[in-house]
Amino acid sequence: MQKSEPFGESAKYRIYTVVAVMSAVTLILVGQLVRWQVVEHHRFVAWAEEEHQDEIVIPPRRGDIRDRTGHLLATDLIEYEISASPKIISNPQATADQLADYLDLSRDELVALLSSGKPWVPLQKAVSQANGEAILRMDVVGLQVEPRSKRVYPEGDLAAHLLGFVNSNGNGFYGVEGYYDNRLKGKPGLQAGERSPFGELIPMGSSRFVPPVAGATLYLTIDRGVQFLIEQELEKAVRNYRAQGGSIVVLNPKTGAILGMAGFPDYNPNNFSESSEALFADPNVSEQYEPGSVFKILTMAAGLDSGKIGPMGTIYDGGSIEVGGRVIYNWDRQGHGTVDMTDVLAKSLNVGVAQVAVALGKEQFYTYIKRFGFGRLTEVDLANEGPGTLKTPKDASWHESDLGTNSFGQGIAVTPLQIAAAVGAVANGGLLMKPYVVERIVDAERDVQVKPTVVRQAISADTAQTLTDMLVEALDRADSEAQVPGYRMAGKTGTAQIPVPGGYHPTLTLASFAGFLPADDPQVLVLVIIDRPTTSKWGSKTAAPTFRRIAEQLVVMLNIPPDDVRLAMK
Amino acid sequence: MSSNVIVSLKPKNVIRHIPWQLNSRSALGLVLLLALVSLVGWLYVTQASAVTTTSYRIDEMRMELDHVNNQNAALIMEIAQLEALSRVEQRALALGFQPVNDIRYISVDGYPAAPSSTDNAFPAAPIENSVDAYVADVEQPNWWLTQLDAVAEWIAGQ
Repeated sequence: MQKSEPFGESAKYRIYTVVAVMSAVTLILVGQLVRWQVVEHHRFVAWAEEEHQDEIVIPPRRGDIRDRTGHLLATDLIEYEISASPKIISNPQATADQLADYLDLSRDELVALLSSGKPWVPLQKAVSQANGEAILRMDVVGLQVEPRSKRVYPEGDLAAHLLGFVNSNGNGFYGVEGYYDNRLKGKPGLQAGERSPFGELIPMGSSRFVPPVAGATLYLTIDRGVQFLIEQELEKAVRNYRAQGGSIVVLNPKTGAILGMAGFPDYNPNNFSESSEALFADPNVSEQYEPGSVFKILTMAAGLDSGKIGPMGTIYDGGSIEVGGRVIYNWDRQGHGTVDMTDVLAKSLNVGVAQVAVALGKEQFYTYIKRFGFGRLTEVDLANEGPGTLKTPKDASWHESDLGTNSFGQGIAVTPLQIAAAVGAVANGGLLMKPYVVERIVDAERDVQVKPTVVRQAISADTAQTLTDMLVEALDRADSEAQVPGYRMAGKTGTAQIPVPGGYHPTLTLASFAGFLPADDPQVLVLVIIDRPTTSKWGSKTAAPTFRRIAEQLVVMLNIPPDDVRLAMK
Repeated sequence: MSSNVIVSLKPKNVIRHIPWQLNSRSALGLVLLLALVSLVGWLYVTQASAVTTTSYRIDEMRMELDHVNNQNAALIMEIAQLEALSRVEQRALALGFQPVNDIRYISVDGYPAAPSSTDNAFPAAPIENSVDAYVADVEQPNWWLTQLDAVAEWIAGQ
């Protein structure tokens, strides 16, 4: 029996074709598998991890700011931002009923928002901690309750310029907040791990938790009692003398520690966004002014220290003097005849100090001015400090006449803190101290005590003592309204014209007084500046009595007994 | 011979031919193995359950800690607000207190003087840069300005 072929030629061909096609498909599939499993393994693993792994950055708590006694001046609180996903919320009416008690939105507004069908709607940005936690406890699916830090200042506008503020992104601006922003911020933490489709961490999965590191707590040199006092007195002075503003600096001349620093008008850092941006800068460190006659202290210091003049030396005041082609007059346009150096200070004679400057010569005069720190930053630990403006013979814009005008504080621009630090050098035996405002920094690792820093010996200790005695005597001779009964004190008034385009304003002035006490052992220095007083333009009638009111209370607050008691105790 | 054996694949026949009869040693070994596997499984499930519970508990406690810290911060803030000097002053005036205007000190013989609150708290750092480049700079006038001055003086015939 002839064995017949099970398949014909055409059937074989079809079978081979099918086998070839299937082999090709298999090869392609295997090739793809190799590509996915071997060649692009890492990419797919990363992709898969991306789907399941989640990382949450945990913001650190910003450090507190406290005064020298530990009282809280700035801290962080939690508030909540509430938003909703209307598509997920099952019962908008019931949810609105629940939320209406805790948000500043009416029930109808909430129903409208929750029924809008939008994927996401913001409900309220800043909800108090108590209300936010109440909403959190409702546990409504579709509601997002996000905690956010908010910087708060429990004393309101107290020391606003000095503290600065923190914006909604957590960045500090101005003052201590701006200068120490990195130290206050701390380091963010991290929570990473596998998450379930509901967004919860899978306990058995891989996870990582790095706790956040809180920012450093800063203890300031500021005494909030002193700060409160000078802010009150400054506001009273601006109101009483119908001025446009003012500023006060109180520092310890022995260390440069700032005990209080006020500027008016100010703002409330809790609501900084509602204030004019022009109010943010601290006038004591950021704004410059022509110091006027207070600067005579420093010209006199230079003259005494160089030996060009002596304390008992005399000059002839004919009422005017020409320096560099410019005629300089006294404030009263009068000549005072032969006067000694103490009289030059007591009567605040422009002609007298101009003669001192001429005697010094331009190089020596400006060397001393620089020794007192003018024309450059004091390097105080506050943001946005300005260097002032000092023209020296090296500058093209300097003119010979500047030597005369600069000697009594005209044509030179300084910051109030520069003046306070420079006069502080006279009070501190000639040592110029760097002003500072943070005395202790405490973080998780360290507790750093900030030490006072000597900038340089601006004048000798003998000169400083001689000048102090002259300033005490000058206040006595002038019968100054700055004097505090029972205390021997040194100081000088200033009445500076205000520069305007083309010259100086005919009537408006900056009235000031810088003084320190007790003269034999200076413990506190106060600089008062009244901006454009209108009841009287003179520093002796506005800034000097303000100084006295402040000093009278400061000596009680800082436990400085009157001279007779204090010296008897010694 | 064996080629003549007909093997029926009916379940009844298959069951009958499976060697069920184990000796006691093998049976004990099998039971122990099963017990071990069960124990390991039970331990894993128990541990996984415990880890999960603990993990959720840790999360809850961490949230609770945050919550307590936040409440603590809020209370500290409230205390600070109540201690604010502006509020204390208002409260003191409302209670009839008056600012002190007449302070009198008495000196007690032999009583040591109390240190002042503004005395040097720390020793000052050593003096550095007593004359630095900034200060010295003014003593070397700009060369170009000096030349200009000289020319101006020459023109003026001095």
